[in-house]
Amino acid sequence: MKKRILQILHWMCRIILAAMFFYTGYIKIESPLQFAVTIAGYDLFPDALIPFAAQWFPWAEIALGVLLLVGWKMRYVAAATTAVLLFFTTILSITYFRGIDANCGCFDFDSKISLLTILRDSIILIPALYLLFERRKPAKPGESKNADNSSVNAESDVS
Amino acid sequence: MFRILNTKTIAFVIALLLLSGLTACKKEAPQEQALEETPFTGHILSGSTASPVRIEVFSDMQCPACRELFIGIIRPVIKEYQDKVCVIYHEFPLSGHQYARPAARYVAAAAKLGQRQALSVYEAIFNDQVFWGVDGSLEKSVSKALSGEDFTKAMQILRDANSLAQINETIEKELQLGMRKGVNSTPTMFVSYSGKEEKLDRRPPSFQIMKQFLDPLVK
Repeated sequence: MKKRILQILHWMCRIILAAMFFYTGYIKIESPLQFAVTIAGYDLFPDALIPFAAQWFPWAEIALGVLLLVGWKMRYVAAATTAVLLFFTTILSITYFRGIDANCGCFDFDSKISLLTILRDSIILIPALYLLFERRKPAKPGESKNADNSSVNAESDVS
Repeated sequence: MFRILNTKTIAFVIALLLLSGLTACKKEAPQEQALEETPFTGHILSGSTASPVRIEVFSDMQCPACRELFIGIIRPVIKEYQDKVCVIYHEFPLSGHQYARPAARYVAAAAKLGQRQALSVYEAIFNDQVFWGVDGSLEKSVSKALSGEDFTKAMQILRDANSLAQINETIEKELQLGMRKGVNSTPTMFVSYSGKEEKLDRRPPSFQIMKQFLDPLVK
């Protein structure tokens, strides 16, 4: 029973994060200029880097979404997801505490950075951290790696 | 059977379905249709409606952020891209700005003389915004921007009751167009390219960012 719950939890985390990355990647791909303007609004990066980041970062989000669903090298994907979300939360926090009036650019291009958006991004970190630190049983000798890779028994995901 | 349909395969199929769903969400056709259906108003300052990129700006002549946008981004874009980028200015005078509407009338009168004259008047009015914004001395700025002959013609247009009524009607249409497009602050910029339209109504991009964005589109 416990195993089943953990399995559901594991999949929920993956699906929620994947859906989120698909959505956030999609809106940024659709509006590269708005995204570039949003990044510029953080006042953290040189202008020369911004169009490059605006062009490629959304595709990285989509790729992370696909990898989260596929489950290949899950531990690395979970680590990358955590890193991306931590990066965003840090940027938002820095911008907010510097007192810069900027847009968040996370789920839309209208909401301004506030303690609420920082809190929201921090909450999104929870499923990523769960996937990163969930307990995984070591593979037993002779056990097929492909037997069941969808849950906490996802040994094949751990490289 | 179940060996084939393992979780990875199912996940991959879900990923593909989600991706295809997102792609299907693109609403390019209705956007293009909406642009075509909109009756054309506004002053074309560079390029033509056939240019690969269109920048439409809803601007108030007395708004300092509009001045900043014009001087810092729009003017360099016009200079750099000329006919490759179509820049259209829409008058969106805000009620709180006493001289915004008279300024819009001067621009409209100059636009009746030609694109070059309209651009000159825009430049002069935005450059002198701090002066005429205090006392409404717009005529002085406009006279500097136009040749003697053009200035006389522009003033005649503004003195003629029919022309003035037409100009006022056009300004009203521009305001309505802006409201239909969701403009609630100035400057609001719409950048249209490859069937897409992006609305920028907060901080405008720097010219460097704009240039890096426009370069591949106008190649």
